[in-house]
Amino acid sequence: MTDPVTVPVQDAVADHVPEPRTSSRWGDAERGRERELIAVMASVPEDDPAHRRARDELVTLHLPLVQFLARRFRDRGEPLEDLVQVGTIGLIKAVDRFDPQRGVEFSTYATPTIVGEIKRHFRDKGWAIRVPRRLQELRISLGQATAELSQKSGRAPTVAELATHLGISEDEVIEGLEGAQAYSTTSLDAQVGGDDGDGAASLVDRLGSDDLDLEAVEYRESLKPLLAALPSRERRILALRFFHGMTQSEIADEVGISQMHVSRLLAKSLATLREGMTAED
Amino acid sequence: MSTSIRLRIPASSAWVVLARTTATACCARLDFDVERLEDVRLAVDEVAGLLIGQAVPGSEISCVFTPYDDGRLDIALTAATTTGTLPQTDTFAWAVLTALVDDVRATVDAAELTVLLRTSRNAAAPVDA
Repeated sequence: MTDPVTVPVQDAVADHVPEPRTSSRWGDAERGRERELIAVMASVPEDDPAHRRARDELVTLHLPLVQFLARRFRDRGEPLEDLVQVGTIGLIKAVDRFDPQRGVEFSTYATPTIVGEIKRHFRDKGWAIRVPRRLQELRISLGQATAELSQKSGRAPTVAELATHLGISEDEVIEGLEGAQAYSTTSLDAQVGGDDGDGAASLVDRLGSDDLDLEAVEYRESLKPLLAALPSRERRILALRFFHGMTQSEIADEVGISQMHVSRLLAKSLATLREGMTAED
Repeated sequence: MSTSIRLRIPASSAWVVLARTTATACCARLDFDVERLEDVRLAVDEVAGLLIGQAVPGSEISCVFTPYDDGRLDIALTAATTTGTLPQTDTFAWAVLTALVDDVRATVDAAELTVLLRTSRNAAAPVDA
């Protein structure tokens, strides 16, 4: 197991993902600091606070590398922030395993570890229900086509338009949309229960003040713990859709993911809440 | 003129996929954009979940899909429920439904609960647009 590291991962991935590292920004100063930190880690015993501080700083220093690598996988149906999170786990593993004696640059060593962790995420979480490869590819094509056609016309495409655009039948499009749902059914199960800092209270408070019509709704009591168990992004999407009346496309722009992804997250979140409410009865 | 598509599924979440896919096909036939279509799918999920929660064990859900030439789509889901009462409308689930479709109403007849969803190709303009 990898020890937790006190790195502001949440801050880094929240709303303002910094620009990927460029050669101009990764200058001699950073490279020099990297060497110092690696030297500290190699020479100071693990239980020495200085070792931990060096480890933390080394991880922080390379977060832009994780973001850069995660972006290469961004169009494959998993949210970028999740990829950054798992990539960061890879980075931490790389920091812990790096052996300066081998004479390779740290980033050279870390890159395959980070990429490996991201790929493992796709393998483990992405398609836990076996979805045929053809459907997986269809779903990805549909996502891309939806984004492309939406961009062009300023509205979401119809099934017929998607079929024409992709050169497939409408039935296949329908099948692909259903496949997308099967996919989402699992991808979120893995995340349920995650506690990421801002509790459900903030959402419920926000809901209450933003939509007085819903003051009387039972969500305040019975829904609160269920909302709390949802990842914060899913809570936000639910609020934007059902309490702020935003469309899926508007939410997609706001949150920075595709409309199809918004749809999947909504479906999964509602299913989770429904199950929770039923279990409570 | 309109044609209805009728489907009966066991009142179990395992078969809701059939209602959802039928709804999808109706939306496609009516040229809904995918966003509207996804809303309808979510609504069918939600209603099915609501009915399954109250359905008499071992009973079925009757689904009637009625697409109209003018782009309107009615979806009526009916189940025999143990309570025979109308669903509460001050719930989160109901708030979700009203946000997803143009109109949603529930009726009870001899312990059979029907939830009717009405939606259309041309969404009512968003309030804040």
